Amino acid sequence: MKKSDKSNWAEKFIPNNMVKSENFSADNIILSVHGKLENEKGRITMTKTRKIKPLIIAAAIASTAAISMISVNAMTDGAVTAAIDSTIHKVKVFINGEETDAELVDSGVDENGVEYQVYELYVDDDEVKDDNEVRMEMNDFVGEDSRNDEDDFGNTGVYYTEEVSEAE
Amino acid sequence: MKDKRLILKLKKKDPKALDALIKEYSSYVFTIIRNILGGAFTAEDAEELSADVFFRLWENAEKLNEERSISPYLAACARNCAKNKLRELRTDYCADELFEDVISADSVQDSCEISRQLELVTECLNGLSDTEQELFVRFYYYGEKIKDISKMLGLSENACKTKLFRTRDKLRKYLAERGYTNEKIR
Repeated sequence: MKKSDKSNWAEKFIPNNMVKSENFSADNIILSVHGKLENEKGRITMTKTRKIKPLIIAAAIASTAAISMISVNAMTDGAVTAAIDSTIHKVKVFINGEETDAELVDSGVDENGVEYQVYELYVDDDEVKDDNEVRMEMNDFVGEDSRNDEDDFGNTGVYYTEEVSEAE
Repeated sequence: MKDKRLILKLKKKDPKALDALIKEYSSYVFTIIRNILGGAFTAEDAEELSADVFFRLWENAEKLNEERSISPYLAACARNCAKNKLRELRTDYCADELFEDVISADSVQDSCEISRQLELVTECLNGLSDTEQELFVRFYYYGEKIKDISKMLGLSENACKTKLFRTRDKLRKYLAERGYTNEKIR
């Protein structure tokens, strides 16, 4: 069977003995394709999860001095450091103005007798820009800083660590 | 044009457009796959490969040109999927040397390549006679047997083989002039 569109050979020449619809199931094909799409969604989610890095806020507190001071420092991957009062009840971290949950994951006293608390938050790499603005609020105190690519062990005695989550 | 509307919707990731295209073209795709696989595979195998073809279509929708018919792209994908299946399952599979080295693409990543090669093949085919075009398309893209094609075209089997050989040669030169060497054409 020939059609007029000379540039389209697939329409100009149709396969001989075209399989009739009753000899196979288009519905099976549709189901199978949608199954593959669902699987692909799962794969994409996993890939995206890999990009999410937990950022550790390590708040080291001198047990003898309650310091009402905060210093926030964001690394390339958004790591945040903070020196905080010894009575922290609530930590709020804002990345580019958006509040991000920071969860207390650990606390204790290190070998030097310094109390510490470790907070963890998750930031998608895609959402973290080079000029990321990180702001932190603890109790009544608000601290703010821009990104910095160097570790901050400064006056606050604060440190941070960074872990990379590999979902796959 | 119905295809154009569906391709535009497909580009917007509308699953209903995909379903509509499957309904419209599943017979076409299934036929090509069945022809190439031959009798050694079940209808379920062919359905599964057909699903792979439409999955590729979905994955690569943004690369499609809505101004063109979708059927050449589907034919090329169906052919490649079926050929790959044969390669996977039959260690003794010997690709038809007439064409396999001239044009083929065997992964999703090659979809752009499929589109580009299709354009060039179509351009080249447009310079051939209707008989040469039909012989080439039926044999290489639709997986039809020389015996059946020769009957339909009223030619001897040897005449068909000779024409196919010459057409393949023309195509190879045509592609080589446009920068497609055997290394680049998988």
